[in-house]
Amino acid sequence: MLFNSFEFLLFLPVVFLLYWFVFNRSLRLQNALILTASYFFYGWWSWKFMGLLMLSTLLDYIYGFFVFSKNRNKAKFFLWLSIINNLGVLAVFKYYNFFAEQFQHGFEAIGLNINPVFLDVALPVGISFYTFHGMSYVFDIYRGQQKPVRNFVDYAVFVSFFPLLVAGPIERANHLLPQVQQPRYFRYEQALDGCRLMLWGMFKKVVIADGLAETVNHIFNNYQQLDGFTLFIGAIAFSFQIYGDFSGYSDIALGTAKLFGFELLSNFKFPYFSRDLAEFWRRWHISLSSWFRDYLYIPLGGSKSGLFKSIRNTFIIFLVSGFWHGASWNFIIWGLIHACGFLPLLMLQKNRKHVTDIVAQDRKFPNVKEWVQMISTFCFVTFAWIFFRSETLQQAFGFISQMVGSTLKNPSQFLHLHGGKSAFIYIIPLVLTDWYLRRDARKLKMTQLTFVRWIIYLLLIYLCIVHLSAEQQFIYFQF
Amino acid sequence: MKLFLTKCLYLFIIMLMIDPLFYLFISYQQKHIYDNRLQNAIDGKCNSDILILGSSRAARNIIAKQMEDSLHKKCFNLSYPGSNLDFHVFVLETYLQKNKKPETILLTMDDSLSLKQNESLNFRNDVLYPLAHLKYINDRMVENNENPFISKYMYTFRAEKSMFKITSQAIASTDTLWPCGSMPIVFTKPDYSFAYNPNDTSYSTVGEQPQLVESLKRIISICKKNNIRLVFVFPPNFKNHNPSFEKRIRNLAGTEIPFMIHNQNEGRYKDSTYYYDMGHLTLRGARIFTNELVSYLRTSH
Repeated sequence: MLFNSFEFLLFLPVVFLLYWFVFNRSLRLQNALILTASYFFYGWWSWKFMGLLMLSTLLDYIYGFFVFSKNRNKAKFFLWLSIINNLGVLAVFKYYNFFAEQFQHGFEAIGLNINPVFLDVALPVGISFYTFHGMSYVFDIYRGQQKPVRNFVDYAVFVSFFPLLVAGPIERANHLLPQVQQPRYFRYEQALDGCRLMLWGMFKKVVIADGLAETVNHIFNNYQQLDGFTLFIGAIAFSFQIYGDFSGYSDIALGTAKLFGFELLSNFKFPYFSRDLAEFWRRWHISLSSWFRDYLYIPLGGSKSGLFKSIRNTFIIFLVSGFWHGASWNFIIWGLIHACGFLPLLMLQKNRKHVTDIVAQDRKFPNVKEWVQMISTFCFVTFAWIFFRSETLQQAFGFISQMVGSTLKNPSQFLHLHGGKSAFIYIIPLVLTDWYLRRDARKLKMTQLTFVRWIIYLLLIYLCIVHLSAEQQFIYFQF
Repeated sequence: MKLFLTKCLYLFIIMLMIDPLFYLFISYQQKHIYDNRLQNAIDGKCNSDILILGSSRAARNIIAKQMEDSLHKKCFNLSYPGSNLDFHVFVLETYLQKNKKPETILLTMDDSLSLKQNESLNFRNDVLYPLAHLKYINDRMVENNENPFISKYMYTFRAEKSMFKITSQAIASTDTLWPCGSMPIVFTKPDYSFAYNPNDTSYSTVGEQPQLVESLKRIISICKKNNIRLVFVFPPNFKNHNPSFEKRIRNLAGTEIPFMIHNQNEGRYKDSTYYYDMGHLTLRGARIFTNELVSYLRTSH
């Protein structure tokens, strides 16, 4: 089920009313309802793969007890078993065909023809997210930061809570599980905040991201015939499309969770206002980057074991992050580009320069230096997105060479592109709102004037309805 | 909770109050559309003796006015460029609801593509958008998943973003709608290179869409039921006529339905100056083909 579907528009109020009015007498009942609703939500897409979700949940739940053992060898053994189990599921469903193809090409290069078996199976939605939930739970138990949960339903809710099931945020056991286990009460302000977040997320997804998708798809599919300026606009448009799409999804997820009394981890903090790449990664897909930081980068030694190891660890984390997004060289190169961009900051020890502050901290507008920093970071990120968006490396390199190489033969070519250009107008309120909220995202209420607020709400609602002619999948569903 | 639910209810009531405005807005769209043939068909203003159905090859290549002048029978071209057989069925059923039954229907075939899924022939949902305030049209859009189910009860959900364009809809040089419904083009496609293909003789059923085959059968059965004479028309392309595709259609149509195939010995059909592109004649070419069609209709009865 998609958030931007009419099924969800029916599903959400039904679950909401059942949750607060019928199942409100006991926490166990509420959690059972959430789990049932979550499986229904997932099963709406594919009942077939629900078995995989349940099995993965059950195995990590069991491993949790063994990993909790005082016998460290036994704990370590089951930790590895859990890792192998989770990565194995990912390897089979997400990466098997990629590796089989690489083997085939490798053997062909030395003159041997092999015919590996390719799997004809769809990628289960959300597999990269729920396996990471399970792994973080087992890791935390191993590290003594979490005790195994006795109640299976509680644990299953942590893994499968429907707002975050298919595209995150990737939650941590020590953050979400206590909320699952404690009684939740309806709070008016929290619910209202949730609705505002959902509406704003829907606007970002339906109006901006889906609107831009039309232009972006056309430009990337026909880049050979287009001039450099149009391709440049296409790359920028994709930067906003993916931001609108994914941060929109995250906002809807966070908002939906609030309606049920949950607070999820924030996934985006205005990443395009970052002044360097390190800051960008502290603001973009935060739940994934912090997951890799805590469970991969730090265990590998982080940045505290000498320059060589720091560089090695940085490359590992970015390459793995790229590969997490998909079994394709494009994503690996995308990760590599970010690693290369991060390297100078690491070597000059400037990677932690903007940890606590935000651009134009005590001012309304950025100064010249900040403008230059923000624009250069945005351009770098946009350049890397070309690899992320392209379907093949050939397409990415072709796109870049056409963008850089072709003269501005016909700068107005962009204006003559078919449809989708109106979405560019909506980037302006997006950027302005993000700028306004950059110090405190909770200010989404915007104004104290009720009448004005309601007009804005209605405007956003109608913009979403009008643009919701056909459901578009979220980009991150494929990961 | 009470306050929250009350506010949700207020929002819903406001939306219900605004809803009729969307009805007015969408019906206003209908008055400003360039091609109002479907609206006329719905209103019963398309009565004709000979009705032409098909895609662009019918719209461009057959001049209904010329047929009308020659045959002294009312002719109307209700063909839509880029439309597939599904859409032709919809148009025919819509037409038959309020217009008098035509004596003859000319159904133009798209060489090799008619029964296959392809990008250039679709169900033209965009033609339906400006008429979405009508229940009949909206029901079809719901069936096509173009509008959500809730649009049956709220006009708000029938609105589409193209309706909100501030600039007026640009009319392309190929949007040449005549009052008779035909859309002939007077020029050759710019920067287009023609290459006559004399070797297109094969046709494979692989890739045929069962739904499109069913639509073809449906048109045949509607005509049979209403005692309408159906003629399959094969206009010229800038290539040879494909006998295998013709055979496939004959197999589906049976022996009773007549086929009108363009004169393959006509030299002008091999002259690119009579064409807009490989699949469409210019007005000069369309006049020649329409004459041929008129002769056929005069003699074949």
